[in-house]
Amino acid sequence: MGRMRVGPLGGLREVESFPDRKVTTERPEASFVTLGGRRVIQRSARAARSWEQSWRLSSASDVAYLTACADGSIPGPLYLHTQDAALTNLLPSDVAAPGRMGTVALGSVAGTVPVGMAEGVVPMSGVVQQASAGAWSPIIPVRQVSHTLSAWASAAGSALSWRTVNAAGAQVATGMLTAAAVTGGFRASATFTPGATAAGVQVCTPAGSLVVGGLRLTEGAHDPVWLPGVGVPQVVVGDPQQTLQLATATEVRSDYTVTLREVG
Amino acid sequence: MSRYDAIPDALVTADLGEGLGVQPVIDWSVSRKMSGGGLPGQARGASGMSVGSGTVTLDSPAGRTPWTTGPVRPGGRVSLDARADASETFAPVARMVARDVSGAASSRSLSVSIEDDLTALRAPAAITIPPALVGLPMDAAGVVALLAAQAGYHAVPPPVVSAYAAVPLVGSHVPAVGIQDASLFDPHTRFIERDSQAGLARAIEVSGFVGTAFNVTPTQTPSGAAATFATFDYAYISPSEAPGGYTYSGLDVRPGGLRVTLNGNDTPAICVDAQGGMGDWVSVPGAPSWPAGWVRMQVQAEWIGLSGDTATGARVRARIGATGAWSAWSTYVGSIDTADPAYTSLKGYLGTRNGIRGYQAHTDDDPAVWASPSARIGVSGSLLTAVLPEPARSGWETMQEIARATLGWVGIDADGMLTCRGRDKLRGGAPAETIISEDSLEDVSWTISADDVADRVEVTYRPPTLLTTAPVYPYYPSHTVWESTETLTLGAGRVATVTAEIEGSVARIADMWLPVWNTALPAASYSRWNAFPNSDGTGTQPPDNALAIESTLLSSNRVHIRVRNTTAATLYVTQLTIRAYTAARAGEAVTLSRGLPADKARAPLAYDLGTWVQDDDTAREILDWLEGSVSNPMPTLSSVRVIPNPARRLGQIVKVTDRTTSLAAKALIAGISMSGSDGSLTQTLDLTILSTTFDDIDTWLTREGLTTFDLLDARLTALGLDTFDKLDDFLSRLGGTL
Repeated sequence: MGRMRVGPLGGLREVESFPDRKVTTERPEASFVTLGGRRVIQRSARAARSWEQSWRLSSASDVAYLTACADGSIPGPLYLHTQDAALTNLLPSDVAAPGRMGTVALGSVAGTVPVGMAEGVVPMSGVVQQASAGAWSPIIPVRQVSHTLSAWASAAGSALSWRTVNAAGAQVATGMLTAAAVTGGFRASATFTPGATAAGVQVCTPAGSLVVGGLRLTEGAHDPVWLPGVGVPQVVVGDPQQTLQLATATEVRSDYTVTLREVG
Repeated sequence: MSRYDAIPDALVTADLGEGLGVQPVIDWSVSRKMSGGGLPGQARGASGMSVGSGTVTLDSPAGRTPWTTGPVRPGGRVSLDARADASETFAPVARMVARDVSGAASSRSLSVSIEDDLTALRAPAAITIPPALVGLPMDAAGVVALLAAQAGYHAVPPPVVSAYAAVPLVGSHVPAVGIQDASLFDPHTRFIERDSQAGLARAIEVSGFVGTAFNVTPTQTPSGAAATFATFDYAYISPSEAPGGYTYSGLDVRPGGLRVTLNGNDTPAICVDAQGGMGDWVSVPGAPSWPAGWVRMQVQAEWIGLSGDTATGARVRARIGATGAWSAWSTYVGSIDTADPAYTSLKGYLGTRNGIRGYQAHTDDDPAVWASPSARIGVSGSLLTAVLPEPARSGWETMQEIARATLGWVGIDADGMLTCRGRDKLRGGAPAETIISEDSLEDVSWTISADDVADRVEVTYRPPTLLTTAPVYPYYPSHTVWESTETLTLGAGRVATVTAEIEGSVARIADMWLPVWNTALPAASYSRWNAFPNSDGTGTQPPDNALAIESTLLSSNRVHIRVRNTTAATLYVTQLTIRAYTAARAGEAVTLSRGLPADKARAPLAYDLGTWVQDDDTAREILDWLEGSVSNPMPTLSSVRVIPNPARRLGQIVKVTDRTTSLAAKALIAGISMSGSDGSLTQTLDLTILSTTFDDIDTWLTREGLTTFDLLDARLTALGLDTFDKLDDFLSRLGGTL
């Protein structure tokens, strides 16, 4: 997963991390089996993840920032921006695949749209544009580096609006993705770099009648294939669990474990 | 996603003190169950009443409490909708009120217990159905409809402000606005059911021209120039249900003899009828062909060239629905005396092709005439000749008594509609779905008990005794309906009020009060009083005008009496007697029985139908069903977990098949419990196994086109049913076509 950044919108700070972090996913579900042996599974439309990170023989200053996040010294809400998401898809999963499992992040009228994946073009859930532009998605915190935003649509035309916003939510810059024919479907892509005051990105469907799906936002360029949204989730930083290992007159070294839990 | 991989979801809208708003729900549960009091298992689970209740746990990010800004308050409305999967639409699960709300300082979740809103129904019942309407085919469900309307639950839109006549015709002929004249009625009408809603249609088994639907004297006469409307629901009755006969129906729209005629075809057309003068037929845009249920139509009627009381013609037009396009005008040209005294009341006549309900005539084009119903009242199947409610009962208690006595069901449904279903609809009809155990049920758990068996069944009913004053002058009201039992002490000039609860019901009381010693009129006539100056009943007889008494009929069985002592001394009123012109009271109880003789029966079942069953046929039908239920009881399936479908409703008929136990039967959903949380939706059903009913046989006969005994005979012969055993076996399953 590489680097991770934690902090409030517009104030993400890089935290030293290591590649063996464990990410667990919880999705509430229930099941029962009918008399005929048919299993019925019910699932939640959302899954919540947890990230656990350990540091060995570290000083208090090494975890001071996370401690401040944990005890509320740094006002929230706090976000977790990972390198995994930056290279895979910074959009949350219900925006990256709008209409997925009945979710309504980009609109309540769901449809199906061909989306290119590594395995080929596959029909995926999408959202149907309406007579007026849809509501903006939640703000996705980003860094001020070059980003690529892409989407798939059911036909050529205006597919997706985007804008950058500052930490207060005010618009900084805006743009439109226009879909053009590609093999198996219609794809739109744009590259932009959030300005000095920009802290996040939002997307919405413009007025129209296309079905839009397969959204992807990454740092730098990405191939014309869609990857599921990882998102920049709101997290609660757990209090660091400490095991004292070394205490001398001049320094203290401990093992620390911190758990970040996705909320919202 | 799919039937076996589902994303369940719930939507809660609640008012916890800050107005209605969507609330984040953590988990919820709602349950409803039929409970027929005093009946054994299978019968109990198929009738009675239900009060739905449940709990909802909500997340309150603001940490609201009863002492924060925007304090939490109970009593607000809570509506809950659920869907089994994201691909489905939400179905209503509860329209209830918050009874208790609880929380804790350590948690921001609020636990809300919810239940059906019966507040308005718990007010004292005020039934005002005069026995003078005796002879009209009043269904017991009509009483439920009247009580429901008093509590704000309307099976048809309530009368609008400008209505000058309104007759709901939901189980009774009692008008909501205007005075019903029963003297012109003929017996050619019956109450029918469409979409689980009762209405009136012409009786097919009675020969005759048309059936009189209503004959109402309006409360006011609209001015000649005023636009007038009549809005009503009509139903189409197919020839297989009502063969032959006169198909046209006519409904007056305004006094003066301005009527609309419906052609009674599969697609309706209308025609003006002005005192018998007819215009052209015009079709009504948007009218559905062969409508299966009730369709709301509005008719506008006007005089043409009105000068004084004389018009040069009249015209009508119609539309379906509030936004429907108006038809062309159907116009009649000819001189009409709009003040002709022969046309002061509004009449409705039904042909064989139409049912009608929710009729109201009004002057304003009021959108309220299109209001959606908030009650679903079917036909109970028990015809009443007089309504004899128990005194001091609430509307809800009276409804329960009716449901219990008629083996029907009353309750608030998942969609918040007050629902009343007759026993026929609870015992038969087309199944809403087929539930296959291998595919949908976790298990089939059944129970059958010795307590469900009876070797003798008795039902008792009380037909009414009607007391009328002979319509020969002089009209002496002589029927004593109430007598005081306590002495009233009245100081000089003092006033006392007494509320008299009458056993039975009265149409008109004698509001002239005379002292008992007045013999100018027969002693056993008119309302009477007696009073003495001394508490021991002695002393000088007070003057005839010593007491000034006013009596007011509050409802059919409650009278308010105001007594004033006009003398300068204390009086002890020892007697107050109310006499009435017309009254009805419960007659002698009639008991019907089946099974072993009383002295040999070891497990008898006695069931009191009270005064809500008044005819022998209905009592025998109930006796038959009870005997069938307890002599050969079927098991009940309880708490069967099923693949959830929030659209299932209490009282629905389903077909259940289970290969493991060789079960293949129709069943009634007698209980539904649902609970949900994120990623989970559980539904369990209580099912009552049903046997074939007359309704099923009727449906089968209609479907097979067997309209005569000859045709039925030929079919039974063709099926090889030449013995009663074979016939019995066939009818129990209708040849597998249940």
